[in-house]
Amino acid sequence: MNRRSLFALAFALCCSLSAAIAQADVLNVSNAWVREAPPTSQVLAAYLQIDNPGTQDIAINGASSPQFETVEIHRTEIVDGVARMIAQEQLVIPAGGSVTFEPGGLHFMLIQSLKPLQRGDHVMIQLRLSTGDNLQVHAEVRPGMDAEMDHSHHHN
Amino acid sequence: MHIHSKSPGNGKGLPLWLAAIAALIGGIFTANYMLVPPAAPTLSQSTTQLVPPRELQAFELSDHHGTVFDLERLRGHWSFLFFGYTHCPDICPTTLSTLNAVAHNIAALPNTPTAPQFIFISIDPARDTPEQLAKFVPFFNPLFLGVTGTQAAIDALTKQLSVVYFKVEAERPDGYLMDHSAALLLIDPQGRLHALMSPPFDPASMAQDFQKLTQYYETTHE
Repeated sequence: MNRRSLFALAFALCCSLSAAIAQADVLNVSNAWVREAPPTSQVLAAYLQIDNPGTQDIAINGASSPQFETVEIHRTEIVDGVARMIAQEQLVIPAGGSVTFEPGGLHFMLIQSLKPLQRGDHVMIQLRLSTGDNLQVHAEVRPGMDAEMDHSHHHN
Repeated sequence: MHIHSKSPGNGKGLPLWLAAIAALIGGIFTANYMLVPPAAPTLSQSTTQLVPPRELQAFELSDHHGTVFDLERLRGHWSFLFFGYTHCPDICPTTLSTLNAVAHNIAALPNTPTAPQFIFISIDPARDTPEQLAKFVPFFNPLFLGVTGTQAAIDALTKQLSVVYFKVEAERPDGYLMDHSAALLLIDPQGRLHALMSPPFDPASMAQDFQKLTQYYETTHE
């Protein structure tokens, strides 16, 4: 990592920190992660949980990432045994409610990574909110949940 | 010399007679048990056993090493088949991770059944070359095999298995998505479609269902 990208990373971290502070009473994001995939993968998926402890509905109107060409919000649905992905133009986080992005359901589709990602790397995703704010999320690249359950003996 | 007046029929004959009846009844029970096949296994809700299994016709595809993958490759062992594509961000990696957990769960079962092969078959041959599959499929488990072929060759297999898929165009010309059947297919050692597993997938119960199906198959095929 060169000096310039280090600076960019530090800057991004500061931004996200201040964004997190500014947004703390608006939307809470937890357990943000990106499924580790083969280095050649053109598309990845990010998952997270968003809580809206406030009294007003807030919508996510779009997402982007400096590490990917495009970010889209999709929901995988299985209808009559066929899996399909439905693009979500807008996703409402209801007041007092939460929305979970998880494997086999809602996910951020990260398209065309500009640099291959490895386990432990972080992906910055910016969510455009209906309030006019941007919410920055840092998602760690890690193996899928099933692989983790499979290695549960590591917890001993 | 004196002869006891005790009748032999009272002392020993009756128990013998009873023993004969008991043996007969026991024999009938045993014969019944041995001749009538054991009841079909009770499986989890997501697994459906095909009775009888569906015979498959010849097809010719290629694995990610570039070796011919045909019906012969499905004979002699159990195989899990999953149809998907590598430009699939969510359901395909999720299912391959699940299958990796299934493989580990099967290996960890008591009286471990013979390991099945796990095969990921592309329904997107335009983007999924053997080279692309070689970079993608073994990432989830080095023993997993990727398979692809011409559109016609893939269709020759999907149609037999009632697997469907549809291309969904996107704004980016090469960014199209594929809708596809989400089920896993279990092929028996005679190369027949033996069972289907539908999501949501639970690796532990899938491994147990696999063991029940293989044990049932062995008791009914020997």
